[in-house]
Amino acid sequence: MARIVKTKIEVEGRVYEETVVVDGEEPPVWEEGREFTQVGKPANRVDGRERVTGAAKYTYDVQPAGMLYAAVLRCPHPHARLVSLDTSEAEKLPGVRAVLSKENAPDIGWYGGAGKLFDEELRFAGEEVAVVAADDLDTARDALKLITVEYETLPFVTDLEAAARPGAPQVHPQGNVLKNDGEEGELYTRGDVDKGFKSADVVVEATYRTPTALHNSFETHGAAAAWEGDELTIWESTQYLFGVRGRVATSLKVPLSKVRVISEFMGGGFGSKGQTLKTPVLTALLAKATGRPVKLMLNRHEENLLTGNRGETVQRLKIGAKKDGTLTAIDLEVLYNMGAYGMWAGAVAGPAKELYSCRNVRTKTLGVRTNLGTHAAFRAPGFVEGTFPLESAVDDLCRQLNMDPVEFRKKNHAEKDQVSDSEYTAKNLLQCYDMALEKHAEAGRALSTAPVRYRPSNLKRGTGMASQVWSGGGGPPAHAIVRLNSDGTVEVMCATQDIGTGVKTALSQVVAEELGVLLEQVRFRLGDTQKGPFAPASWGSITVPSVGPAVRSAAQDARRQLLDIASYFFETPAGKLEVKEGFVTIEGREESRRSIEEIISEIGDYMILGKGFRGPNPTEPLRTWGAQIADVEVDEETGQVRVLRVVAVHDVGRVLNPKGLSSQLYGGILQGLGYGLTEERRVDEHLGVVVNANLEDYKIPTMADAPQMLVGAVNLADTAANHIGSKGAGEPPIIPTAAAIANAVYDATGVRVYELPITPARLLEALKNRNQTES
Amino acid sequence: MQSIQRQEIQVTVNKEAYRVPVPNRRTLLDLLRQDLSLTGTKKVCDMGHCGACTVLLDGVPVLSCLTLAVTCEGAQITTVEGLAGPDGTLSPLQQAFIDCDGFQCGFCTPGQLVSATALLNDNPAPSREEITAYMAGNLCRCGAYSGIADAIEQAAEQGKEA
Amino acid sequence: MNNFSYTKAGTPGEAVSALAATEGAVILAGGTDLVPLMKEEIVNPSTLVDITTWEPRAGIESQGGGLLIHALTPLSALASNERVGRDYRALADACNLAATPQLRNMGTIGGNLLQQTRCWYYRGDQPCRLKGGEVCFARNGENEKHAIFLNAPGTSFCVSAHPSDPAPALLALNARVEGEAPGGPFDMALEELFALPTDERRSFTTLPANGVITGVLLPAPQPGSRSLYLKAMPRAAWAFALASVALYVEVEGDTVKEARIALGGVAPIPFRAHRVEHDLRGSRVSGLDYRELAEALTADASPLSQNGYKAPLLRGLFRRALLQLLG
Repeated sequence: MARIVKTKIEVEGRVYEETVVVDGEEPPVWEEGREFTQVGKPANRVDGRERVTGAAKYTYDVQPAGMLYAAVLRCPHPHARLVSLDTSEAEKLPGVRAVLSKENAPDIGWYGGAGKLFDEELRFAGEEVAVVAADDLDTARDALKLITVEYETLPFVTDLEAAARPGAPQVHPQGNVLKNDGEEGELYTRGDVDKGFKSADVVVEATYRTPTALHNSFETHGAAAAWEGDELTIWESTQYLFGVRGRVATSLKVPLSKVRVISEFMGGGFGSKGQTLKTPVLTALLAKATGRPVKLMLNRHEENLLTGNRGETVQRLKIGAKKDGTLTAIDLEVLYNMGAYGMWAGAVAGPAKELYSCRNVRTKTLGVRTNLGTHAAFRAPGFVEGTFPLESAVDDLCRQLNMDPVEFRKKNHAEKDQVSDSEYTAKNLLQCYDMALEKHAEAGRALSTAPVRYRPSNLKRGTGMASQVWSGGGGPPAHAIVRLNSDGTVEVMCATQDIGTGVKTALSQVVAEELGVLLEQVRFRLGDTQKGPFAPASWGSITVPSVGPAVRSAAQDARRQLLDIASYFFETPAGKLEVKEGFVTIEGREESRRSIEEIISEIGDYMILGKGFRGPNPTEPLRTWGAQIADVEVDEETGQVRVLRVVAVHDVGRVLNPKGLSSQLYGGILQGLGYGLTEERRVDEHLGVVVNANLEDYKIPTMADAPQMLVGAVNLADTAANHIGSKGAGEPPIIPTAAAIANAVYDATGVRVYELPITPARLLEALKNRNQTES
Repeated sequence: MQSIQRQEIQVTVNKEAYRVPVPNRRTLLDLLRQDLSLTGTKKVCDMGHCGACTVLLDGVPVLSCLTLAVTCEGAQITTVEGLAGPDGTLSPLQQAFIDCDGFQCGFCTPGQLVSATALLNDNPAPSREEITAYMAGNLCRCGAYSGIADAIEQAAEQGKEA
Repeated sequence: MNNFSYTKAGTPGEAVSALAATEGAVILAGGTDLVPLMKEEIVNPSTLVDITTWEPRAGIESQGGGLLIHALTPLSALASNERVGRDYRALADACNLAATPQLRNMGTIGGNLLQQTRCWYYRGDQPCRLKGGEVCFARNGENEKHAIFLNAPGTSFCVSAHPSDPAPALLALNARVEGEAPGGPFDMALEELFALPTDERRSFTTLPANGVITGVLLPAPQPGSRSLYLKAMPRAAWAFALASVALYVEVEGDTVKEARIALGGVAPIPFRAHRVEHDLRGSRVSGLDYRELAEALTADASPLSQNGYKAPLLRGLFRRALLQLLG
């Protein structure tokens, strides 16, 4: 009988209480040290072939017969009121099939009621004014030029600090600074910070700045929609199939059962596709209006204006320690840029609260609205921003105390979670430090990347480190079905999504392991709300720890049924049977083995249906940990920083697929490197517009920027977390990289750069100040 | 005067000949994706910044987003769909991308594979530095670069043995 | 992208006639600059005159002891050409450091010299003065990537930085350009091709109206000559120069017989640092003070609000160039 259980789930620094239906028993825990046949073995992507042949169909590639192309007219002003709108000329253009705007579209609320699908007041440059569907994209874009709009421009603010000041132009009538229970900002206090600083021998205090970072998923946001009668199919590049389904159903007032959402292959999201943008609703409305399928993919410029970002921060941080290195107080005040419609501030204070043992901590986070595109979760939102100042300040403390940075961190190791005052399910951060140090020492001197011919004499080397805390424990609800066909093949049905991380492969390994079949026998069907039961959004590094236990539970159910059937034909109790590599055997009697196919086909064209679910979380906090060490080479004449090597060791529980894990770590490090050195959105404060919403001037790392990366995992099962012992690995590796690089730059030059990214402009400025002080 | 804003062109894509009318303003990328339904080649920036749309034009890697289709009269084009053998056998490079996990989301992969194919055509045994220099125009947001470089080395190594 | 007509020109003469005959006609060569500008609808040709199949096509040939580089020669061909690498090293370096392999395969040397600025206001929606508007938005806006020379309001209304890598290299190598215009063939020093924009001529070149570039000429290599091109980028590859230096010297014994310095990425046009060249010319190599020369190079710099770093960066690059060519 189903039970109702309440459980806590933490996603990206925010804790939710979920009510979970538990229907059945969960499988026993895979204990640490258990021998596996599939889990933990390096596996190639199960869908590798589709990816290397161009056969993989992404949302961008969907072209149902008769499909129309859509394009959006966007407000060019940072803040304006729509005075008049005339779409008649656009409608007359041959090839144009529909034009939607606030004049004729249904009145659909958006942004939690703070905006609309088509609003009269437009709060950032890029907000939707009208959308056109036409026979081809060029015609749709031609039509946009025929729409005449009159705007009344309004006062705007794009500068974060200016927006937080009293008297700033108001983005919304309720004010720019987010309120919690009527108070501005989110406050957290433990202990007595003032007392803590009084007892400190050394104090570091500074203001740090981090940039607005743009996700730049390579597949832009977008959707295609097709109606068949009153049933709607949406193809959407999303991290959350059911989120899209719910939003579309609510917006269009259609039942959930009539909306199908598909995202079989997905070209990257990094958090930005956890939200549902207006695209699926716009395409559905246009498809309804024209009676034809409609596709709307954003272009790169739009992608970088309005699909989310890691909000910029200004952080005032003060930390103190005793002579022996004991941290005595941390005081942090954060301004966080949420853009025009932000409803939550990034959990920037997370690292200050949790990374180190410290009795006295005070944090204040102010989420601030500005007339810019709304922020979104971006791979470890908040913690990436918050780790840079904290780890920079810790590095400064170590230098002032003349203390080894690892020794300092071990000294201030937090044995338990100080926020909830409870033990963690597992914490192997000390092993991360030791393993990282060992790898770093073994690797020897990093090779210079400067060509010999051009190698200047004044290159400076430096090494720096940083560490990381993050959630990543997942939780319910998640469900799966395993179908065991009469020919012995296995289909896993689960409407989760593989956003490029390789979870499809890792989850297939879990099913193969539990069922006792080969990986090749498993076909994992995901990315379609009609092809499987509910799974949560792929964000917060939760897919493996949420869906993994569910698919294992379904596989266990299928295995149990298989053995019950086999028991009849083997005339042996099920408890004496085992399944290995697709064969059932009586324990200890190899000659008895019969293939799954033989057994099931005994009872004809039968399909075994296994059903599985994700059980509740333990009450203890679930965390992932890690440490990274960066070696850099700084050209003091040109201000260029090259990262030569990054060593990364993370504690994410049991590793399901080491090959996939390495790729996640490489990817996190490279995005962290971009955040540290090259990536920043630039905004003209006078005009209120973004000037580099493209892949030319928003610079992500190239292959030539990639350092040598030595990565690893502690790889100890977190058996208290869930019964597969695994946690998420998507977000942890991006968190400490920029901070480690900044500390390495300091080590190389003696210059502390307080603002990311560390560009030649910033570093040369800092070096100039150093040189002036020296001379 | 009504000027002529479309032409009929003849192109060969992956050894298959096509005769298609194209608007003058259609790029080769859109021709491939919209008109020929060869959606393997990806549109990422559409401005020449990322390399995702790389195809071979008469054997030379170019950006199909910056190539107007009308200029491709008589051209031989190879896209990611043309890299495997006629029976579907993966090229050593394609297999190496799978073996070395030379992708994550896979959206830049077609362009990476086409560039890497051209690299090995030009230079069957490239050094790591040569790989990096040749591939620097193919961006990957997921950061799969080390797997990609490993895959190219693996395929080159296999080429040596063959 | 707006609609346009399309025609092919079989010869430079045909191209010039087509340009002259059709209002709004524009030449299409490699397309790496033009096509993005058309997509942004910053350039809206009525007709594209495709010259990619004209004769003579791409190629590098000896001429008068030097080299004639046909206008359609892609940068990749220059980067890998043995003779360019040996005798005109700065040009090979510049072509290797420019853009990406794919763009170097497409982009032609003629088109590279005529490319538009990468200024984000010019490329964006703002009606900047270069596009026929009234204002340079970068002057008091986001100008970290912009010019530190030739940027005073009375000197240039545009403060963008010139993006070409080959252009400074060719300037230092004393290249000439030849072409065809309605008035007949023309030939000029490359230095004369580049000019700051004016309200009458909102471009960076003096290319005659309806004219085309057909080739770039490099003089015969001189005894004791060497050259190089150094470029600073915001990431390890694939970026336009934050600053670049092309340096050419002829050395006889301990004497600098000739020196030419050209700078990229620091002014609206690539330009020669004549004063420092003068300081170098005739000097004894052993007596040179690189630090002093570098200071002299940026003595006239007038940074904008965000790009003060470009002066020390340029000095660093220049000292390194001197060190590498002169020891």
